Amino acid sequence: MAETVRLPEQQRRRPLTIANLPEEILSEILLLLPPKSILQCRAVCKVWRDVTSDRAFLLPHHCRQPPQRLLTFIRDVGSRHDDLDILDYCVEAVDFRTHQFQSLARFTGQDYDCSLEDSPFTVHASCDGLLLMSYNNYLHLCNPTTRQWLWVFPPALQHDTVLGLYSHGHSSEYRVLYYREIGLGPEFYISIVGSGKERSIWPHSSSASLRKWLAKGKEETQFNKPFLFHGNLHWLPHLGGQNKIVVFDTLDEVFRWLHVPFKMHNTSSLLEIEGSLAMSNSHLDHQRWIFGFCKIISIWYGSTSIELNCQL
Amino acid sequence: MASGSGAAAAAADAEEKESGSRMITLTSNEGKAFVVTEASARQSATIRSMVDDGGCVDKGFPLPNVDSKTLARVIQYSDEHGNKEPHTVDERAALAKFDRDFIAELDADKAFLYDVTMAANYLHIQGLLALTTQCVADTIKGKTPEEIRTAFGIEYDLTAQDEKEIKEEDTHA
Repeated sequence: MAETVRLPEQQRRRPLTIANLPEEILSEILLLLPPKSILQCRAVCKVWRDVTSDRAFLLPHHCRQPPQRLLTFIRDVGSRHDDLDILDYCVEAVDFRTHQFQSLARFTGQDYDCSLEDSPFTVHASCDGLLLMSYNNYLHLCNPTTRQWLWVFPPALQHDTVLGLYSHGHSSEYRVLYYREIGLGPEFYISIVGSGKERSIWPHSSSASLRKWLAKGKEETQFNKPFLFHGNLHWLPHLGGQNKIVVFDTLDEVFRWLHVPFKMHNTSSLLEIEGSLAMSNSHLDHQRWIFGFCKIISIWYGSTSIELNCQL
Repeated sequence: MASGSGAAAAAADAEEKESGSRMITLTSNEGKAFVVTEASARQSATIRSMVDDGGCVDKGFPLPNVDSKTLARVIQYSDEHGNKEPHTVDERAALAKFDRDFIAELDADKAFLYDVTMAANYLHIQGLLALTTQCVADTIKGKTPEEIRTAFGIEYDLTAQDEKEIKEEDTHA
């Protein structure tokens, strides 16, 4: 009885340490750290490991990092010393504001046959700071901050072409969009990461012209790396002279056209400028490269364009 | 403690001007009363919402989760930030210097730093919480797991399975 009475007093006097801070405050503190420090924190103790494994922590942590561009390199590290066939496959992120490179993932491999068309190592897509990559045709989802890896369906990259990775609606699911081309035209599939299952999507668009275009297959469509904007995947059709781009609406999981008020040149690419979807245009005109940056607001209305002329 | 004179002048509209001149009593869990200007008390979102909801301003606010020593230090911060509104470059620099000195003093006494962090979190004083959490984060930055455990007196409780996973995470350097 006497002990029960004394307890609150003892609790109050017990010195507060970082170990008995509530998890919400610990999480506030760890959110302020760069990815490199997070990795160190994951090896401190059980509580810290649990906090930094939680998606509720990892997502806001990723959002606090500056926007970065991913670059992949293959470095020949063996020949510098002796003629060993050792290659480094690296993914690095570059922060354009500070011009700093940050290493995200690195593999060391051997026997890379330069005559092969495809590298054994490819980054297919990224979403919320997660990378979807393949190494020797095995697809993995990787969190470069925690260095956690997850094997991802589909395994048959010989037949399947990955189009994109997205987070579906408000669910905590990540989904992979890909197509398979065996015999008659391509078929589009979705797989929930971690489920090991896939499902075909058809009809994948309500637009007849888009269905026709998607049915043409790899040679015509040339899906390059998608641009993730406001949760949806965007591609430039790369046909030249087009005035529409392809969007995969990740909520309804259908393709649709997005019309733009001008014709695009072959070398356009999509980017984000101050929260708006934007596009850069460049073309060769009388021995001069013309770079035009077009800022696109909302659904292409009120777009403004800045033209930068650069002579090469 | 607050003088209460500076706050009213800074307030934008008449209503704020009026409320800014009121005094509010905050009571620690040891029953000690602290009288502060409303502008200072409004640094706390918790108190701000209680005041705006027509709470009992006259009766004061008991704070059962905060002891006197911590409350005094929190009030030192909210007085500085609530009673003065920095307009000039010099004033802003003075406030930044205050923050630096304030946190340097707290950093020397870690247990007290956590007490203030907890109080800032409980009272929702965003600026103070940002200051204290950043201070702890700076201590963690650049340290190895072993150095972090030593610096904070954390017990090693990772299982063999965790260790195996950590080793795997390390291989993708």
